[in-house]
Amino acid sequence: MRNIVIKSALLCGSATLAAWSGTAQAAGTEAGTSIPNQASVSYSVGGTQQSVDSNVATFVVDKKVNLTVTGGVITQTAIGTNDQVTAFQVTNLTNATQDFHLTPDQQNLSIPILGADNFDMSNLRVFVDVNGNGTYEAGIDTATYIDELRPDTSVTVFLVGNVPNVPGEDIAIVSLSAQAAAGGQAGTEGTTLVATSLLQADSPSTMDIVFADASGTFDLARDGIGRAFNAYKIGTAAVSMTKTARVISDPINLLVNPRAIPGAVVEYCLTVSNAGPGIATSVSVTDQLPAGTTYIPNSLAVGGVGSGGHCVLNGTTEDDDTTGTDESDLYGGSFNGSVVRGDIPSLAVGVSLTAAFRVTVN
Amino acid sequence: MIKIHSLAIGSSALAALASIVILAPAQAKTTGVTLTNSVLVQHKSAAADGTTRITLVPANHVVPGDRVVFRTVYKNHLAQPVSGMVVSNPVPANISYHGPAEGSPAPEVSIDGAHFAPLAALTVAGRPARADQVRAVRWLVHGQVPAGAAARYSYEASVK
Repeated sequence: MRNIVIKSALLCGSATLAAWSGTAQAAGTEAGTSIPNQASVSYSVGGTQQSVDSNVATFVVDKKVNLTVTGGVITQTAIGTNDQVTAFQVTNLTNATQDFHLTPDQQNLSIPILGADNFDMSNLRVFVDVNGNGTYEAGIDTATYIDELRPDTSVTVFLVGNVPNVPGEDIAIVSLSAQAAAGGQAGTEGTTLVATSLLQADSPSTMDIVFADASGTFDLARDGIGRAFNAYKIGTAAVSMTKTARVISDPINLLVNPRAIPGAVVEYCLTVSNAGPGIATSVSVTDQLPAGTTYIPNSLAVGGVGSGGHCVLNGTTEDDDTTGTDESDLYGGSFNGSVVRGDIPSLAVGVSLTAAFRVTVN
Repeated sequence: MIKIHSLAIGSSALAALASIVILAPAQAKTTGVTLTNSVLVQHKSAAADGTTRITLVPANHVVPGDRVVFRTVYKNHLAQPVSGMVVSNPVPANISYHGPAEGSPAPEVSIDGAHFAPLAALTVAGRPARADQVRAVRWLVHGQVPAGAAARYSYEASVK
């Protein structure tokens, strides 16, 4: 796979610019418009006023194909979710009504304001916002090409895809490419426009097709194609928790192969893990004290390194109230009589931390 | 009645034919003052020395934003001079006037099609008129135009 870094943010697929057009008129006079011009002269000869008209010089305004596709949007999404929608705008700057072919693409590149692509969406589809309300509606927005887009008008195009359930990935860059196609027949996707050859013999009375779109990333100038990029970003952290218990001692066997009999000390271990891609902050682990047990005061330890659901190494010891220096060290924790709470301010990707406490079996 | 009616039709048809016969030589003759109109478009090409060369070519490929030149050529085919000559040329719809083309004297312009003056002397709603508001241009030829004389006037505009 190519891995391309784009230094400048070429997010717009295209932009107009005839160096000549002084004004910011976009599409301009409709293609096929005939512009006739006839001059006249009046003069006097021998005292008699005369008037003569010239021939009519006429030309036909040709079709100037131009479009822009705008994107540059980061769509926040979550891991393992379906039908995630990201929107583009396609604007017809052609001086005629056009259809546009639409192609969704996965991109493996890095764009400054979008980030570096590290996963692909699955089942990526493209739909046109047919009713123009800016919201993707599955049963309504079903068109997969832009039909009869008037000059100087825009339409929203949605890419819809599923986020795979793979931890650790966060950015999927997708692109929408729009290509000018012949308009004129509603409900039918027109054929791709082809520029009239400049070598072709021509008359002023025929309408030619001239491509005027600028170049963009992955598309050439004057090719009738515009492209823009959006990103899906998994912004959430996938935090999971497992709970294990082990008997530390019992009144009969003491520390040797203790059993969970009344009077036995049991340690509960709550392990939280972050599969990413984001860093989880202010993680609060709570656990209702199991029925039939009594909490052992000041037995709480938070921030231990957890592995495989076990408390491998205890963290900072916490007392049962919610004040004191034990709360302001790296981790915090408390017991309010029924619920045990452990506070972990920050949980990095791929890290597991624990909150452990002990109870006596009644 | 019927006979007379058909005769009437016949004569009107004849009259129409007659007028065509008269018109045809009128267009072909090169007496009087003739006026020839043409429209050209600026074509940019890269010159060998690295500069951009602008040439005027027939308006075959014209798209919005292109600069076009409307050119009017008069010629006095009479054996005598004419005077008080005024060459007028309306600015077509969808065309934005810019100014006189290179080599042409500046025309008087009009915003309303009736009152002509240099552009700088015109106002629209109390503000100086802009070139793109010009709807017609005309050139006044001062003095006499001698027999056989010809000249060319042109203005530059862009396609809206």
